[in-house]
Amino acid sequence: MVKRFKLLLFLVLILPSCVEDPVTYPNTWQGNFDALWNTIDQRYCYLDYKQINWDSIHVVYQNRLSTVSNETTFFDLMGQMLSELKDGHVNLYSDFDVSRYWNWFQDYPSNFQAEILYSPRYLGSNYRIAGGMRYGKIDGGNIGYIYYGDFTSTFSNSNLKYIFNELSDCQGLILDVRDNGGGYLTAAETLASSFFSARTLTGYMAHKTGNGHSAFSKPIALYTEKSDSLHWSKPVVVLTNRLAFSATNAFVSRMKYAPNATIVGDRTGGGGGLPLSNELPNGWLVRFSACPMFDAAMQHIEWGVEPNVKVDMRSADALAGYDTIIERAIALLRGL
Amino acid sequence: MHKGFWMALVWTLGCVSGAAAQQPEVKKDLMTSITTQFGWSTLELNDAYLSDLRYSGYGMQFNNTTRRFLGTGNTRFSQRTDVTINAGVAMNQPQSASISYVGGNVGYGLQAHFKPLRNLQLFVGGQMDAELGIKGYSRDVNNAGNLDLATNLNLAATIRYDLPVWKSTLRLQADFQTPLLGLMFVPVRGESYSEIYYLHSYDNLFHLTSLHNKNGLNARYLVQIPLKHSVLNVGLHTEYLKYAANNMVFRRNITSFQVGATYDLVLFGGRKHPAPAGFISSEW
Repeated sequence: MVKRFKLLLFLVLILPSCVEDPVTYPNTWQGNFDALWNTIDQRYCYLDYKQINWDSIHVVYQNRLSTVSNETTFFDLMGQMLSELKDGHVNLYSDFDVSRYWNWFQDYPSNFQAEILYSPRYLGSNYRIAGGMRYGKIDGGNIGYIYYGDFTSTFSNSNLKYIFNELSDCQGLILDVRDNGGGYLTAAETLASSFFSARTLTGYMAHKTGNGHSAFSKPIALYTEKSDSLHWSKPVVVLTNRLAFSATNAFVSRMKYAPNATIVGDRTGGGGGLPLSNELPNGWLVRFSACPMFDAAMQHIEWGVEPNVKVDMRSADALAGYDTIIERAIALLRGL
Repeated sequence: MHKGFWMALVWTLGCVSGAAAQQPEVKKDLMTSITTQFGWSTLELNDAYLSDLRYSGYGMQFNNTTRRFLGTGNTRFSQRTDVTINAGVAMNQPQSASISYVGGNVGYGLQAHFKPLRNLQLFVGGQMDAELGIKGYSRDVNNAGNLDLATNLNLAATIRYDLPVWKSTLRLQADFQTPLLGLMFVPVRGESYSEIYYLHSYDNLFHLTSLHNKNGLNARYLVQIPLKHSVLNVGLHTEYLKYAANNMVFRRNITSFQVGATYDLVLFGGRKHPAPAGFISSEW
């Protein structure tokens, strides 16, 4: 009896050492740098795809760590290191600043001017609003127009039903998602499904299964379902620019496979990785792309989706109050 | 001489058996001992799915344990049930984010009773439990929370010592449980819950557990003080749990200072076990 009791006591005391403790880093410049570098090294999903030598970047920024004198300079240095990823989904959040990489749209023409959109030629001031969508008829009532600028501003099936009913006598629809920086992927899927007549394979997604740069799961097929209650069967033109990012990028990628859909404008801004986050010992938060998304041909959409018809806004048109991209969409829908 | 002896023996046995036959049969009923505890807790969480940082905070704990023998004729084994509910909020050390935690655990087990020494009892056995915990993370970047979902077969041991003190008897009790085998849910690092739900991505979510990937010690120390109409309990409940899966390590440490009471119930009901005549019920 005593022997058994001793054995039990031994097991209870010894066994808790079998699982290793979580890795922790000290709250020092070096500790925070190591935590950040390792988070990206183990969990960022595009190091191989973008051919980034993250080990070299460690050497470069480790050497520059000695120049850090205060929190601000340390933050700036870490922000610069993250900019090497060239990813709009990568940010470092502190209480005093948010690091960002914006070259993905700042290096390109904006291709969108809100004041022209709300001029009498287009939406004017008497447009209707349903959910996050602003809509009306343009081109003398022949073309329906929806501006949707934020996928976090959600909509319901009822919203879409009223919009489609209102625009049902139009010969075509323009769905403008320029300057839409993204939001909910589910909203992107729901909206896209309104334009599909059958369940269609529109992409893939993978997630990391280990710390290695190439440790990914088998890609999971992403289908766009046909909406049971709503269907826009007439031609639709989707307007894009570089600020169409993240969930909008995913929406446009789906719409490329929709029947009767044409993508017009500039290449979207990308943001093909579903972002997740981690924290540093000092409490800062790093957001990063964790799960890569692909189109139906298994091509990355991280760098954006090419339009079917590439159009840039002309400054002469803008000065005259014309939106070159909308005008091209109208011409396409008229069959010109 | 021999004849006299046998006559005396037969007479004695006859008297005893006759006396026994005249005593009314005592019907035994099983009592269920219930220990209910409320506590104030400290909480430490490591959830690598949400953050690499350790979170510390405070919370509340409720615990209810029932115990009864298997049957009126079997007082070597008792069955016990446990319900534990924890709720708390923990923050990271820089105080820049918080995790809200609500979790519950229900268990059922059997224990064999031993009395190795006077005033000392030892119960040893096993217990099956099921656990559900929900963590809400204040920094939502597609990982707004995480679920703790598991079932375990635990080794369970209880030590009781009745300590005579003046006119009363204090009961000192230590109760230990440690997980041996089980099944647990752990999401893949980097896979959001929306991906699991919408894409039906169920690979690597459920893991068999044993001592190689899950260690824990759930200990409860109680001092039971008999009062005039009840038994007051004062105690300490500590839970140390650590498990690993999908390249992540999780930890949950809860220490709870508890007060409560222990009381006994006899349950009557149905056709086979109606209340005796002396019991008055508002139902029947």
